[in-house]
Amino acid sequence: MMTDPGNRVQRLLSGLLGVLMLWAAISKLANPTEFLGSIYAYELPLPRPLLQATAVVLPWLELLCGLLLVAGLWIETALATVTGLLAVFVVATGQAWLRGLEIACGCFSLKVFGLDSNPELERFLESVAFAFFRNLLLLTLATFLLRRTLRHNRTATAQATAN
Amino acid sequence: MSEHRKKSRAASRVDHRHSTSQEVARPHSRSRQIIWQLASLLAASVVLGFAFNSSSPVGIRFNDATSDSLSSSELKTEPVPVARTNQLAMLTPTPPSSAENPRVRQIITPPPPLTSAPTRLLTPATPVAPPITPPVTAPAVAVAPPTTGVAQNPAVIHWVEAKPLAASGQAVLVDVRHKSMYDAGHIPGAISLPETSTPEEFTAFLNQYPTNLTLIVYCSSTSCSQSARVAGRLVTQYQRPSVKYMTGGYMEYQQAELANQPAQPQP
Repeated sequence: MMTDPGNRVQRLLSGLLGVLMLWAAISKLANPTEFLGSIYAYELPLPRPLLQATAVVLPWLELLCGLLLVAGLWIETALATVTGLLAVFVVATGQAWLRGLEIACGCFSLKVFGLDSNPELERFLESVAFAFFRNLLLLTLATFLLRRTLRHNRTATAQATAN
Repeated sequence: MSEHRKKSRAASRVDHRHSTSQEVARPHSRSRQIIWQLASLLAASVVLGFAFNSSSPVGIRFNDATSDSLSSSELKTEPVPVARTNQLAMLTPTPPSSAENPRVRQIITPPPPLTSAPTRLLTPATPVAPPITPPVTAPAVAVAPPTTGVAQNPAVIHWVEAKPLAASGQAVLVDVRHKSMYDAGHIPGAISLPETSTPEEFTAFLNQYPTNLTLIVYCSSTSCSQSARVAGRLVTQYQRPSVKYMTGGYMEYQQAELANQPAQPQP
């Protein structure tokens, strides 16, 4: 369907982002209370019921967006949502990092890669600073994909109206 | 021919993105479509989220102060006195103790005929009665003593083995996750000692317990490595002779105690 190599790369990157969202969602859904605790750990100045509602809804939003990105449906909407979510994550982790909160979320394990023998590296990868940079990178990717998709669709629309 | 192909390709590209070509032609309706999709996504997430959490035994409960207060209110949190072992004894399956949280009792209570598998996994035949002090019968002496220094230290332990040890006061559960995660929910009877605690806090914590008391460290789940790190630290840096860490962490406890509560398989 997409013969243009640029589009193919874009599709691939969207799929990759979708897989990451799915992974993040599943790990949160596996232990909702744990996720709620990690939200509390960021010490955000928000009322508790709102944080609880976030912990309830957010993993499902991630899951649905991940599925849409992988399936290649509602791409614009899914990318816009993911971009918004990542922007929130960047702010949350950034403020935690600036405030010096030591939140080892324990959500990035190196056991899978057999690298858990390096505690220093492992601690860094679990740290809030790393989470911030990871989110920033993903946000850049999501923004890039969203802009490209919007531009592509705009030209397609113009083409279709011209015809 | 080629022109026709080009046109159809352009149309298919547009169709791939948009549901109808009419909507494509109007950017205004296109943005409205995106808003509608966003609203649908959000609505679906809300419905799924609340349905999932209300049906899941490990889900988040609104207005359920117990899941939060289960932690802070009746058990630990506050500085632990030296006679901490008495408090641990509260977890034992023994008879009527006065002011106990019924929910905690329900969760942690007797290790009796849980399932056949766990009992087999436990050290030899653990009697139903609390093995706090040497029982009357001779063979039971060899049953429960905390691991000696000869054993691997720190060693891996699972909840089925940790449960009777904690319940009988032979071990203390140490939650090394962030304090707010502990506050959101933890194993009843566990003490919070985040990995990020200062050496002074570690020392103050350890001074409250006899040296030979087994420390069972846990964090979130198999995906976290804090428990292994803290366990190693307790052995090397603080010379604790008996340290274990629960690799499955809090999730293992939840799965064992909460998710399986309704249906207990019979032998």
